[in-house]
Amino acid sequence: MTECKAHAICCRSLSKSFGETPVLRSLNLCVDRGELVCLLGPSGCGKTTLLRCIAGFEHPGAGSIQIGGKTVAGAGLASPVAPEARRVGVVFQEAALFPHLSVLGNVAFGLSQGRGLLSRLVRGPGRAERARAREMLDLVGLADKADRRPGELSGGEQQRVALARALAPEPEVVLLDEPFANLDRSLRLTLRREVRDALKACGATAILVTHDQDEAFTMADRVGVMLHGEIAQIDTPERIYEHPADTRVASMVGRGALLDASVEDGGLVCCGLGRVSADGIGEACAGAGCSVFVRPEGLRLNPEGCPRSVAGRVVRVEYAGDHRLVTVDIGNGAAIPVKVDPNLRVSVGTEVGVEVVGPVRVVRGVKPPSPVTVSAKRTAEAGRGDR
Amino acid sequence: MDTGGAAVLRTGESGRFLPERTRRAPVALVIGGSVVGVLAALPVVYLLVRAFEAGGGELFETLRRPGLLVLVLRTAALAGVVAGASVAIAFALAVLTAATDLPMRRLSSVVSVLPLAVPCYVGASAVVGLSGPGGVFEGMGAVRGFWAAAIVLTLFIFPLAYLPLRASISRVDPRLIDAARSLGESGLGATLRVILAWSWPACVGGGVLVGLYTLGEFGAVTMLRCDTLTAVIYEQYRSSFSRTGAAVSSLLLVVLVLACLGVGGLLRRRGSWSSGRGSSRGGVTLKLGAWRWPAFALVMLIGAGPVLLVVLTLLSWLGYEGGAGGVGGGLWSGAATSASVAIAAGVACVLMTAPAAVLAARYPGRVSGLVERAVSTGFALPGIVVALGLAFFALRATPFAYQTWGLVVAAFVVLFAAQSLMALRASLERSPVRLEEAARTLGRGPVGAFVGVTLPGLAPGIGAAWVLVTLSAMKELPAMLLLSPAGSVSLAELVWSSTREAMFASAAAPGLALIGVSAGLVWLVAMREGLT
Amino acid sequence: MGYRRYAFAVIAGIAAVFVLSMHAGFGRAEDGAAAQAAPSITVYSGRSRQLVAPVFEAFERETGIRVRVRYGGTAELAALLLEEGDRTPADLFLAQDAGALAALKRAGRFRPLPSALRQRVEPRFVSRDAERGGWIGVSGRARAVVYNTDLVDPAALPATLGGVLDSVWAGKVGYPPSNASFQAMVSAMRARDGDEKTIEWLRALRASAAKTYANNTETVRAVASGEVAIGLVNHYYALRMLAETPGLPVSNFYMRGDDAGSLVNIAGAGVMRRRGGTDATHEAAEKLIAFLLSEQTQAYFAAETFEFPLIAGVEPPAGAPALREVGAGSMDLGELSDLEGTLRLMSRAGVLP
Ligand SMILES: Nc1ncnc2c1ncn2[C@@H]1O[C@H](COP(=O)(O)OP(=O)(O)O)[C@@H](O)[C@H]1O
Ligand SMILES: [Mg+2]
Repeated sequence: MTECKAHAICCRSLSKSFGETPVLRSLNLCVDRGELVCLLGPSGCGKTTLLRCIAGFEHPGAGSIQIGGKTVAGAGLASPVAPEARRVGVVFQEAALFPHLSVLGNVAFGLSQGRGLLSRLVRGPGRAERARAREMLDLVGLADKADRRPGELSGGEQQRVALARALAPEPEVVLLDEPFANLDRSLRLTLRREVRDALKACGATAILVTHDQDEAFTMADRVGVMLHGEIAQIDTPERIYEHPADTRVASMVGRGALLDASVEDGGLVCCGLGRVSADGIGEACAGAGCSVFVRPEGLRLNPEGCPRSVAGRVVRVEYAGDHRLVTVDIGNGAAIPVKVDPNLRVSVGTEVGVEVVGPVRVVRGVKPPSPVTVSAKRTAEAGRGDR
Repeated sequence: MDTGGAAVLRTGESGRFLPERTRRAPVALVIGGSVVGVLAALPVVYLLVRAFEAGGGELFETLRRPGLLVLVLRTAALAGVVAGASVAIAFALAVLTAATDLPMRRLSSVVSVLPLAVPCYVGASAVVGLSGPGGVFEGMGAVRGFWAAAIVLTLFIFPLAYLPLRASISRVDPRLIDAARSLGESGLGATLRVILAWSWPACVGGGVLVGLYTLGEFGAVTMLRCDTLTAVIYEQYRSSFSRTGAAVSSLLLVVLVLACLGVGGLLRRRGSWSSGRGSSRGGVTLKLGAWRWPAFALVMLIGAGPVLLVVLTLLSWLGYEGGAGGVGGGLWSGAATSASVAIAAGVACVLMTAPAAVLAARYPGRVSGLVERAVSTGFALPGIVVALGLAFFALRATPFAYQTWGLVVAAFVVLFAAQSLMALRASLERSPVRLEEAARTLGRGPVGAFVGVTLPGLAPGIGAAWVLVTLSAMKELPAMLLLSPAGSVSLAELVWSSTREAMFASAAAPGLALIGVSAGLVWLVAMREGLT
Repeated sequence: MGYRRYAFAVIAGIAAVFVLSMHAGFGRAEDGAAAQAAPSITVYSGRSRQLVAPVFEAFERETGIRVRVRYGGTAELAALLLEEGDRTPADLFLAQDAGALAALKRAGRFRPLPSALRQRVEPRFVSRDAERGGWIGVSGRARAVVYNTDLVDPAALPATLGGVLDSVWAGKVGYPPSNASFQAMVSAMRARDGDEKTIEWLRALRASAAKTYANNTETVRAVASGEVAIGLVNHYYALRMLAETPGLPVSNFYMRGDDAGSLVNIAGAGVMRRRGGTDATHEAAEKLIAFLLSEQTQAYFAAETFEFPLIAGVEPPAGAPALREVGAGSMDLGELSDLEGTLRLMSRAGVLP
């Protein structure tokens, strides 16, 4: 426990069930001071529940939570610390601004805790509180909207106010629960940058949860991939992308081909793409059978019959401006995504060869939830659909 | 004042779907909506006729009456205290029953509305009986005066404020509470700073309704010997027979009504807010922890305690000599008459206020403001004034309608349209105007959109409006006594004539019957409001 | 879910039809045609159903005349009758106090009373000029001093209202200032002695630390419990209470002095002038007054309400002397109608708020 003193927030073996359904399963998560961690996971994996446990709105069934080195939930406490005593700022998916207060009043809401209840109830924010609230509004670029009502703001502005409100009392940690999910795409892009800048300007520690991989990767210092109530892997975006810890993470993050393989001598594996050399055989593979993973940019499209290529037929071509993604069926139902130059014209049905040019990684064989090729985007869309 | 008073009886989330002010209301709607306003304004016209017929002399004589200022102030103070206390109690109960993990929330919700089943005058006569010689509270001395009246009125009419408050609080977005708590507010602080602010329009609307009711309340205040303007109006009818003095006092009461609406408008504007999405999912659930059962006991005590006390008192009177007899067969025909007239009044009220509600919710403006003020005045005027006013006009304009139940129903519409208007309007405001616009874009004409979309928007309020009016009409006394066809019997009259002669025993049976029938209606209110 | 919102409309609709069908028979239609066969009359009764309904029922049985009654407060009904004018449906007004009757008489609302009726009671209980339109008393309600028989020697009781102010009674008198009968007494005092004397008396009463009560019943109870020694009330409260609880230490004393303390007020009736009135209805209304003044009804009033019968030959209520031994009255009850002036005077004297 003592080692957590260094962390702003530390969850140990956190478990939580709603009735019979386990939602968090012995989850571990530590966040350094000033760090921005994005939790990436499909809808329903327990992201919101985790944040609500940290904020104190839910109480974990087992495990402990420390915030700023102080245990707020878990063994050794008679009862969990109340939400208001945890110094945690929260930004919800819907901005959840107080409709009866002005923008300034919203931001100043958490600044009046020094005063008595009656005074908080009937008197508006004091001078110092107003100054601090204005400072925060400045930070999120809304100083000119201070006297508006929340109803008169656009969705993006509302979220920025929500962030300013959460940051104003200088919380130990800020929790953001899919703060951009309700916004349109272009707004989302600018807001990501602005929110990150604001958090960094304050030196705030933050956990942001999202089901959007781009969001997680562009904003985070570290990304935690959350699956089925666990953190499957937590690391820098680069490491997550290049070294997915297991098949679930591999299929969750980015695109790529995940293939069954058998280990051979000399650092080689045998898979649907032929006999190729692969990293990480020792650590991830027990026995002969394992999985290998290769990114689309690690593959090259060759004309049919080229040496060192595996033959296949193009089944789909997606144009993405700076590249084309060609999906090739190499038999056995394995559809392999290959990234090619946007100027390369291929049509569906063409017979081609696929060659491995980049790294192939052996990943721990946890059964992926869906067929061989999974795109994070499609997962995200499915997730949005069932909300 | 013009816009201030206009929107006070609203209890929904005010500007959620701000209708465009520029839209012109259809003429048919304006006319339909004005009918109830004109009807409700008749008593005021009558008062003006009576006040000025004797020339200015008697008018000034009445206005110079010693103690008049004290009287007006006392009346205003009583209305203010009862409104404030009712809103406080109603708020506490609404939070407990709609936004916490209170045990048996449904039961608690119904119990919170139960006091509506007891007419104030029955409650007051029980209290007077209990505190008199031989009563349970004999040692406590006579329960009389301003504070006694304030307490009794509060205990029996706070549900008027509870109903809109509960509807509003059950729609508070739980995330707002979470946000407040993460910003360092305790449970109590969040309740007050967020839920109170959220439901502020409903607080003001409910408070105004209770205040108006108190202004017009007669039975309980006279029994508890707290002289208010209404009590004095009766006194003047009794003493002068010239009706001018009473008319002048009644006009003063109208001024108090407008003041009450004005204050409501000011309070409302202070805390108004223009947007906020109600929660469509489950609302807030605050954890009471160790306070769950004490809180439950408190709800039971406030909701069921006074009702139980009254019922037990009446039951004990039933045991006295002549208790069950006295009234005999009159009880059944009285109950049937009261119930059916009240039911008809409820239907008439809903039908007549529906266009006014649409007008007020969709095309707020001068006309809807005037209608609302007229209707509020009707609610606060004493029954005798409304009855005499309608008699005055009926005898001159529609003599065939005099001495018919139609006129009684009309009087009930004047007296209780405010409740109906409030309920219908709140329900309209909860149904988005966008739907109507969507319907228009889907190719429906204005009439089609109205029938297909606006009317269903009224539906949730219709039950509440009907039941509230019916309940009030059941309990109403003077208009029933003066306007019902001679020879008819009503429960209220039976109770009244018994208590008047201090024959508490024979008041017991009709009193219990009245409470019984009303309790049935309260159950309907409760069901309607989704409490059960 | 959907059907429930419409269930209410259906219930309400059915209920409305029920109401309409149930009450279709009521109303004015009966007035005309049916009246010839068996005349029916409408009575506005300021006396409550409990007290007077059996009398009307007996009248219906005896005469076959149907009586439709509107019960209500005497004052409210009087106000309504004034509002209705000659369009009133009422054939007869039965009032609990002379003030309301006087106000209606002043407005010319009463028909003449036949002399046969007028002669049934003492002239002091009939309005002046009743032959041109007026009212007649049907029962007597006397002022009385109720005293606690344990505390007070009847011989020492004050014989006049002036005597009540004697220092021996300081702090021992109870009275109900807001009660109509007390106010009628003050009105009578004003009519006899003028406003100045009256206000002096009221002020002196207040200064003597006399205690005020909400109504007659509470005043009598206070006397019974010894809280005060004597009370200024109407006579029937003590009688009624004694009948309910024999042995209570209370008794009535009737002042005989020539002042308002000896006032005998009445409950009375008058036949209304109305547009739809016919000889048959007038006759029926007069018959009803005659019935109210019959021995049978007078005895009923004496037994049930403990009021004084106004016709000769009927026993006074149990525990009361004969009416002629009560009151010295040369009081004109028609002068009691300025209640408003009385109230103003009383609040000037400080006995009313
Ligand atoms: N209050 C609750 N009661 C029961 N089940 C819940 C509750 N909250 C969440 N769940 C369930 O827990 C799972 C995780 O929910 P949540 O944490 O909201 O997922 P995410 O935020 O990752 O989409 C879901 O299956 C959800 O249905
Ligand atoms: Mg979520």
